[in-house]
Amino acid sequence: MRKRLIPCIFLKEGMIVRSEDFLTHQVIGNPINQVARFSDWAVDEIVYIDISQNNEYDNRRSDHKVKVPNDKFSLLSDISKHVFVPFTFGGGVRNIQDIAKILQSGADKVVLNTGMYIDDNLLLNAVNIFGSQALVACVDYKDGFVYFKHGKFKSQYTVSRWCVIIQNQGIGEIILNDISRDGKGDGYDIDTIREIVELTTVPVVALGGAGDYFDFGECFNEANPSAVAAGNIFHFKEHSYFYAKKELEREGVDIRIEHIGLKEGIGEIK
Amino acid sequence: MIGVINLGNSNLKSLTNTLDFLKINYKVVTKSKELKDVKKLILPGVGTFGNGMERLEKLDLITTIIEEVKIKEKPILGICLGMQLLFESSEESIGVKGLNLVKGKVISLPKSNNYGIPRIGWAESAINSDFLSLEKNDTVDFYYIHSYYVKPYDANIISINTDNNITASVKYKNIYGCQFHPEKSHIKGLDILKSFSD
Repeated sequence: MRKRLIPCIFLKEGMIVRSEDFLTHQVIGNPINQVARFSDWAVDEIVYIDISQNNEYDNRRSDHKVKVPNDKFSLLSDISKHVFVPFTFGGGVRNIQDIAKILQSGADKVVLNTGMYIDDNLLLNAVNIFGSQALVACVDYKDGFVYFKHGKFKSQYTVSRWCVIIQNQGIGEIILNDISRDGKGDGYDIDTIREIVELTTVPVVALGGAGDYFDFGECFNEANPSAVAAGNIFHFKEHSYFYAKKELEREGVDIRIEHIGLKEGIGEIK
Repeated sequence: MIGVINLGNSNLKSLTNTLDFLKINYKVVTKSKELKDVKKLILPGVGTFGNGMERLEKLDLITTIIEEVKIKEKPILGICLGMQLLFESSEESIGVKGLNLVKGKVISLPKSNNYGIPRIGWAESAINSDFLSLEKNDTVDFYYIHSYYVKPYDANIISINTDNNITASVKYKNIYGCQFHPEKSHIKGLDILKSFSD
């Protein structure tokens, strides 16, 4: 099984945002343009997380050529038409109907977070209906404790305790997101990632802190997660996904290399 | 015209998005009559073996699928759980009978340092014998997401293998099955769907 490198896209009110400290969200683009780009690059997987805290979508801006739909599910449905790699979607999932709607709109996996805290039975019921493989937990944490509600509410759970609970309830995959590293570019939280990788049997995805391509290799080599994910680095650095993979290959990490031409003129990845 | 059997709580849209993109003629089918009217069948599916068979039973499709595939020799492509349902039974749902179109059982993935369970991600896959668009002796990366895999009694029908000798695909007469997701495996996967539809 190859290690995966996953672009993670944060949406707020219908637009892509750059996130820092879970607080600052700078609008940086249109989600449909971006997903087509990622799909051309043949990325390993794409994760979208909608961090809108209300349901108002304001994306009728005239400076974007492609019109973006006005609600989460039609946006998701439009995005999914351009994705021929695994596609994970989350944000604000509170009940079984939300999960069913996201899957029906074209996602392959659904991210759960605060919903599992509010409703003790949500994960158990969801596993029964959709199977573990469709369910991914995003675990936001700071200083060893898990936070919910957009990183604003500190829970009594340590990261390891929460991960064991959701694993026992049948979660299919765990994304570990270190809040204090969000948008910082200082590298991943190796210690926590390694601890959870060793503690659990489900695939673990590291998120939060990638600043340059060396951070990915360091994380794989020292903490051994199944995948590393990052947001900002893939938006701001030109051809970043291609160069990140090149660097991982050079460092001997077992990753997937697609030998296809890229539309943006880099040529073949060899 | 290809009939895509609607198993309910699955990622059906992922598959239909891909078929749309490839301009393949298909319709989503849930009725026996519709199944008889199409030339080929795709059985996609995620979820558990038990739920999948229960759904087919509720739709009253089991006899028709068996007739169309076994007697009329209609080509069928099972994807992921859809391929597992083509077999006799599964360790995932003890006591539930599968479609029994291919002889063999569905068993738990062996534990390995190479992957977690569910086994999720891209894995190198070795083509043992020609399979739709794929040629013998090639190796290709495909996307997998599963906790069980099929073990046919006749190992000769295994056309693709992946890590730890896990069955990646089978080809038996007019029956094709993929454990990986062609609709999620970018160009090489899309080629398989295109080839099946031609």
